[in-house]
Amino acid sequence: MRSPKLSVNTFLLILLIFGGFTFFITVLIVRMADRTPVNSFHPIEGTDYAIRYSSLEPSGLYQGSENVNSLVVEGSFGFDWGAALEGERLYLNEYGTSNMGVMHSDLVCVNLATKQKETLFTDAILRGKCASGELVCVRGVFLPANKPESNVLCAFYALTAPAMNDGAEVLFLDPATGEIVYRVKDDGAMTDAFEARYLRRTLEEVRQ
Amino acid sequence: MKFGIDNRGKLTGADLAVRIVQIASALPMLYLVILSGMLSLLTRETPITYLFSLGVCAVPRAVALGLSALYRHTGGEVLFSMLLVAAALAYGVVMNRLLHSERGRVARIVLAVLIALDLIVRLIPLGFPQAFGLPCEIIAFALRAVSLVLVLLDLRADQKA
Repeated sequence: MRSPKLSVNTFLLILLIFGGFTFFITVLIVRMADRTPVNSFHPIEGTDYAIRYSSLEPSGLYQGSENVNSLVVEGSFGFDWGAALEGERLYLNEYGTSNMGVMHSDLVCVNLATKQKETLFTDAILRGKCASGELVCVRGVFLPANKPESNVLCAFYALTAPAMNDGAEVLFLDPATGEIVYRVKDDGAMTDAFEARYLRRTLEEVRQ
Repeated sequence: MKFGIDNRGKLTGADLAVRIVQIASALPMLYLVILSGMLSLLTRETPITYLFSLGVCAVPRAVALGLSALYRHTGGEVLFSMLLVAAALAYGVVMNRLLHSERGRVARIVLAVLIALDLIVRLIPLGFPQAFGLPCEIIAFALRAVSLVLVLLDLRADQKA
């Protein structure tokens, strides 16, 4: 009779091979099915810079027009939520995606003079500017589309993400330096009330 | 069932303890294999979700934290799940050899200490939340406690022999 110990090991070996093939085939099928080339160009208002998403060229921050341009910094940046320019400092969300499509966002600052990218906060989403001009970002949250409350991969991600273990926090940043001027804990930071609660008010009003 | 050293090749307590970790390690990949065929499951809480939750809770806490850190940096579900299963396979092969070698007693003592440490770590509030829900955490804790008892019974039987 076969040793049961061998059976467990054999089962794991089969799972390893079977799982590897399954993932490989799935990824291959998804890539074969997704043959639509993407090339969208989103100029940043008041600057010579634009954010490009492309399946033909590297995605990232470009300088120049849609037809004549050069890559400044590579990355999957967001232009939708709260991209803000202050002097030579461009604040952007940088999105990362896992194999299975779990997305997370980091707040980065691109220095347009030196063309260097600096990550200011991990697992943070820049939402815009408040009425008095400070940048408002939410730290320690997933993008709402992930539905983290029912997504075990989000829970697994959050297991070692310090910002996510302490609950959501709204940060007010000085756009000139990127330093925090005010912070407030708010677990409802990604709800619909966010705009009325933070973006339409001045920092002083929020403090009160 | 009687636990203890059995030279005829029957399951010993330590063997069972090793197997609990091995089977738990396979659960996240089973979940991901199912998920890869039906991605919409990712945004829903279904019974299949518990495969992943229980698997992550039942493996040693240090392993779960290490894999989570790896996942955060790579975004690779395939990578961490394959690593986990590969590690479980290697763990099974190595422990199989060690537990049935001349140093079997030492291996059992080391295994018991590691399980005990893991149980203590689970009781200390280290800052990370009970991410996968209390039922899974409780089942995983019970499984680890049972593993410790099995190994200790093994050691006791070894001493008597």
